Amino acid sequence: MTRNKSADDQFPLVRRLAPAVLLASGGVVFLALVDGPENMIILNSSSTTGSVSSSSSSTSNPTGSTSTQELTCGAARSTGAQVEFKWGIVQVEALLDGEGELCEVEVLQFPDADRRSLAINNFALPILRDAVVVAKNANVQAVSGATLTSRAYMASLQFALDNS
Amino acid sequence: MTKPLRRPIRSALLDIDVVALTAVATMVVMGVWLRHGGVDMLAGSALDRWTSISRLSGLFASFTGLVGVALSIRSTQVERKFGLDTMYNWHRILGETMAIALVVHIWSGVMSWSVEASVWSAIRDLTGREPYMAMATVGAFFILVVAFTSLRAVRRRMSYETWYFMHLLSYAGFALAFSHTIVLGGDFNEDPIARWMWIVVHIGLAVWLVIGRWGRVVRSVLKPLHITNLESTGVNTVVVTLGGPALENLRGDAGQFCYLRPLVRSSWWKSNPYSMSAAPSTDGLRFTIKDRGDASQTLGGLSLGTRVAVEGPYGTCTPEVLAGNKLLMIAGGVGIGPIRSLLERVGPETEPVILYRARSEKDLVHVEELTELAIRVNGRVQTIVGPTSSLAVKDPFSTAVLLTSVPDLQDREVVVAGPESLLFAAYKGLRAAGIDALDIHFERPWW
Repeated sequence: MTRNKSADDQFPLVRRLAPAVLLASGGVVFLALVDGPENMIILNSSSTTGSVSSSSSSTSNPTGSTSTQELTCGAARSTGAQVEFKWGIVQVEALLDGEGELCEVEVLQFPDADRRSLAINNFALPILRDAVVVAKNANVQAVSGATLTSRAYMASLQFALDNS
Repeated sequence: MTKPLRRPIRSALLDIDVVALTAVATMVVMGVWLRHGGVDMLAGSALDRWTSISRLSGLFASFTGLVGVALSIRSTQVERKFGLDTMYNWHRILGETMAIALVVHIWSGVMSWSVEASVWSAIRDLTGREPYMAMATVGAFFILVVAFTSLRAVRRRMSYETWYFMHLLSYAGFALAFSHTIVLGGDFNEDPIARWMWIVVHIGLAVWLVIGRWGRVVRSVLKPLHITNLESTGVNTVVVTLGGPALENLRGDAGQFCYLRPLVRSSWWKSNPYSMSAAPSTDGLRFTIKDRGDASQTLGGLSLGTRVAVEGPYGTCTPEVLAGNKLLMIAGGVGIGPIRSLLERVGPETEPVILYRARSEKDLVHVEELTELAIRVNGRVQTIVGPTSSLAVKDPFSTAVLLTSVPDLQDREVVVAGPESLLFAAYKGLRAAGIDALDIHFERPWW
C-alpha cells in the first residue's frame, strides 16, 4: 500500500490546493461573465390601449346571459406590456370573448434578431398560444428550450389580462 | 492482556444485489426516458431525434455519476462485501463511462439546437440561452477535468493530494448541473413524479455523503489513535504502532489496511493507505512503512504520542475468506505486511509456503518473525532476492519456477501482496498453473 512518487510530493498544502482553487475560481468568473441577469423588465406600457370592453374583470361577468356578440372571440382586446428580457422584447395582445375569457393571443413583438431566436420562437410561440388558450390564463408550463421567452410571454399576457 | 480486535462485521449484501440494483436503476433511467416519449422521438424529426439522444445520455451520465459518488462514500456494508479496491475500480469505470456519456449528452444537445440554426449559435447557447445552462456547462467542464486528471498517464504526474483536491470539484460539478436537469430538458420539468423522484435521490445521496463519508473523516479526527512505538528496520523502513482508547471503536482483522492521517501541522491534510503488518489487537495497530513517498517520510519522522486519525481498517483479504486449505503466500517489498499479519491468524493445517521477493537483502524485513510464525503452523519461508536482471531465472513467478519451489501448488489457495508488477506476474504464473481465479486473493491496485 504505497503510492507512487511524483514531482510535487514535497509541495505544501497551499501549492497542491492551487490547481483546484484556480479551476473553481475560473468557473465562477466564467459564470459571472456569461450568465447575465435573467430578470425581465416590464417596459413603460403607455400603449396599453385598445380595451374596447367595458367589463372591469372577467369574474364579475354574468355567465348565464348569451348573445351572438358574446360568443365572438375578439369581443374585447387588451394589449400586454412590452417585456424586455435577455434575448429581446416580447409583447402580446389578448383577445377575449364575450364572457371576458381568453380565447386567442396575438404576438405583436418577439425577438427575431438572429436565426436562433427566430427558430426558437417559431417553435415555441404556437405551443405557448395553445397552452394559454386552453388554460384561459397566463400560468402555464414554460416551453422546453424557450424558458425565458415563455416567462416573458406569460408576463406580457398577465399584464394584458390584468388590464382587460 | 493482548486480545484481538473485534472482527469486522459480516456484510448483509449478496452478489445478486448488485445485479438487482443495476436492473432497477436501469429500468428507472429507461423508464423516465420512455415515459417522456424517448423512442417515439428517435423516429421523429431531426430535432426530436437529437433531443431524445441528449436526454438519454444525460440521464445515463447522471446515473453513472450518482452511483460513482455513492461508491466513494465507502459504505461499510458494501466495503465488507466487495472490498475498497473493487469499489474504487468500479468508481473508475463508472467515472469514465460518465465522462463519455456526458460528451455524448453535450454533443447531441448542441446538434439538436443546431437543427434550426448554425452550429456556432448552438455552441454559444451552451453558455446560457436557457437559465442554468451556463452553470451546467461549467459543471460539465469540472466533471470532464476530473475525468481527465484521473487518466493514469495524467494522474501519475501529480501527487495524490493535488489530484484529490481537483477531484473534489466533481461535487461542484454535480451541484452546478443539477438545476438544469430539473428546469430544462423535459424529463423532469414537466413531470412532477419524475421530478420528485430525482430530487429525493439527490438529497438522499447528499445526506448519505455528508454523514457517511465526511462524518467518517470527522469521527476519525475526533477519536484519533496515538503513536505508541516507533522502530526502524531494514533500509528506510520504519515500524509504527498506533494505540489508545479509540482502539475499542475499531473492528479489524489481519490482512487489512487503514488510511492514516497524522494530525500534525505538516500533514493533517494527507490521508494515505497503509497495510497492517501485524494482526490488530488491543496492543495496537502495527504498520511497516517503506520510505518512498512524502507521506511515509512524514509518518516515519513523527514522534511518540503524535495523534493519528485512522479510517478503516478496510480490505477483504482476511483470514475469513481463506477456506482452511493449504496456503501459498507471495509477498513483494512491503507487501510482506499483510502476509505477516495473516500468518498470525492461520492454523497449522494451512502449512503455508511464503515466497518473499525483495530487490536486495537489505530490503527484507521481518524475516525472523516470519520464519517463527511459519514454523508454528508447519510452514516455511523462501526468499527471492536480487534485481530482476540478476536472478537465476528470468521470471521467478513463472509456472515452472513456482512448481519447483511449491510442488503441491495446485492444492493451495494463494494470497499475493506487493507492487502492481508483482501482482501481475504472480497472477499470470498462477493462472497458467491452473489455479482457480477464486483461489487467488489480493488487493487490486486502484491508483
